[in-house]
Amino acid sequence: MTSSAATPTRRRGGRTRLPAPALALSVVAIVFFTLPFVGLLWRAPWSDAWNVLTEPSVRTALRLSIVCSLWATGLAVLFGVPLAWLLARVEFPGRGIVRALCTLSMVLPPVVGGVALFFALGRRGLVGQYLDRWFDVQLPFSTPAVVIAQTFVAMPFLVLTVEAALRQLDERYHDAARTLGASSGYAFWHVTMPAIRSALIAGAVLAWARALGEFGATITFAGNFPGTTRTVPMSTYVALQSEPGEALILSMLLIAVSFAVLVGLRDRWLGGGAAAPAAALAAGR
Amino acid sequence: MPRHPRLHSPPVGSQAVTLEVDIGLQLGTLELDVQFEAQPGELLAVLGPNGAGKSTVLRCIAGLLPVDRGCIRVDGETVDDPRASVLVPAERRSTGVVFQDYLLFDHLSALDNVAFGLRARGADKRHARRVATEWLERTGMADHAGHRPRALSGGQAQRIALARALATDPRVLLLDEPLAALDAGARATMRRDLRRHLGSFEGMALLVTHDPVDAYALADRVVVLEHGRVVQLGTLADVTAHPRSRYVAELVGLNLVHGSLLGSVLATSSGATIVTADHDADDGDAFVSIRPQAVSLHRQRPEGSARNAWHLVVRDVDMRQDRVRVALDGDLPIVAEITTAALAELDLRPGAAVWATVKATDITAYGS
Repeated sequence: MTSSAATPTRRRGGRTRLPAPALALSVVAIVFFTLPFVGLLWRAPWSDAWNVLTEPSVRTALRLSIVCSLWATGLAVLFGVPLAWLLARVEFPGRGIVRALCTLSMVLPPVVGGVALFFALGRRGLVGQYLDRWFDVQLPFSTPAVVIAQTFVAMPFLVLTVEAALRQLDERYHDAARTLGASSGYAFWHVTMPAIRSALIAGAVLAWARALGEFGATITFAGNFPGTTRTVPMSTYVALQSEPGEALILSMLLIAVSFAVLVGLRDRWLGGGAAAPAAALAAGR
Repeated sequence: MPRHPRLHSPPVGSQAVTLEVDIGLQLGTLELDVQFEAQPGELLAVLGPNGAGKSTVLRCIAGLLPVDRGCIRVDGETVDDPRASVLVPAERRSTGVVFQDYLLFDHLSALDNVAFGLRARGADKRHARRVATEWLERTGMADHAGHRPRALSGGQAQRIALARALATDPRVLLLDEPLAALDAGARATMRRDLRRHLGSFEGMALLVTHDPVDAYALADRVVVLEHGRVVQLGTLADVTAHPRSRYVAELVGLNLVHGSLLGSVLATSSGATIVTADHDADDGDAFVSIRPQAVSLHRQRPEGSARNAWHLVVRDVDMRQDRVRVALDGDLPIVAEITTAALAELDLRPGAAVWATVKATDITAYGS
């Protein structure tokens, strides 16, 4: 992807000649991926960039995006790490089904996820009606709904990345810690967690990037209200109708963040290892 | 068999048993049914071929694997007994384990690896590090306190693993093939170091190994496991003189003789000399191993190429199917294995004088 990602071995491997048709097809693929970004770069009104990014409505959307995506990442780590542990280490009937359910939102069209959330947590929803009746809590179309929608679609990236790392980890390190007098919890915090640290960081960053870019589930479940639920992706969508220049600048911002995440993760933590499939999926949303 | 001076010996007169093991366990195709007891302060070696269940026994004692049936007691305290619904978890047993591939924590320095057990038991950081530092000094690893495990050699990692296991002051120390991952040179050094550290260890130690040389160098008695069962228990000398199975006879029942090596000649403390053609071991403290099958017996002093000939006396004769083990006494108490035909021809009975010969090429030397 980038020249900096190439290791010496890859560079040596690069000398092998690809058959001409394969080379031609792969060049077409690269152009196919690159062209849209070149188009954006070419059309973006760079001179307006500062004005657009400091506009109050854009600043509000940016702040909302950052706050909500960080909350979503935090929740994904809080619930996702124990879930990954459960899926990786505890054998129980239906584990495959549970794993599929917990990662379904990753492959689901986000709009469908938003609809599902609405019918579960909405005012007439399965759980939402009781939240409304007993606690006077209405989740849809609120900022918490943005966080919930983002967590819903982002957590699987963390779960899969951490689960893969836990599976690769030699369980006997945990055993060794226990023979030294460490309780299961102490061993998890002081032996297992440090060992999966890079996977945890990679998973959290992937989840954060996914949350930051969330659109479909958010607009369905949380709506598109300036100041409470309108995040940067939605501002981009709205701006496209009235002010294409603003949409272009916001698009460039999201692209830059996603690109930085992918390049950074690949070089530092993924290395084509366990989390690479998740990275590929993250890129494919 | 002359036994080298051991640095630790069981307390005299003490009859209390510190470890009682009765394990019944089905694990995949392995059916484990193992009973033995270890005496206080004893170093017991568990010998057996791969897949015999040695490591499984160790995991059961450590509390990493519950038994299906049976009972494990340490110092009379039951730690695992399914019938009484007792199962003390690994972290609350006083068991130190040195794993075969050490399993040092990569994210911690050597010092913090050794301090880990104390920290996990609630000691504050300063105290834990002070105790760990003492252990590093004792194992000669003080210079490596700040190193990460991946920067250590096999022998160094082994010492850290031993220090880590001993730092929590366990009553039972379990060693799983502690020398298997080392090359021949490091093995001899580690064997000597291990003997020294185990000598000052007051609890009960269990050594899992497939190498009778390790067992002989370190252990008081051996338990031989085959297919999940104890086939023999006793001192290595007993086991060599009276092997109860083919595996024991072929692989465990070796003559291991301790002495002082100079060039190609080993001198034993009982005054015998043994010439070896093996030049792998360094001069000084060493062992030689002699397969009983390599020992020939003669009524007359033999002529010929054998450079090792000793005049000995038959102590006892152990007959088993088609092979006979003859235990000999004298300057060099060793065991010979001969055929029943040879036994009849030589007319060997306890008390008979006999010449034993071994070719120098049949004698392997090990540094100690």
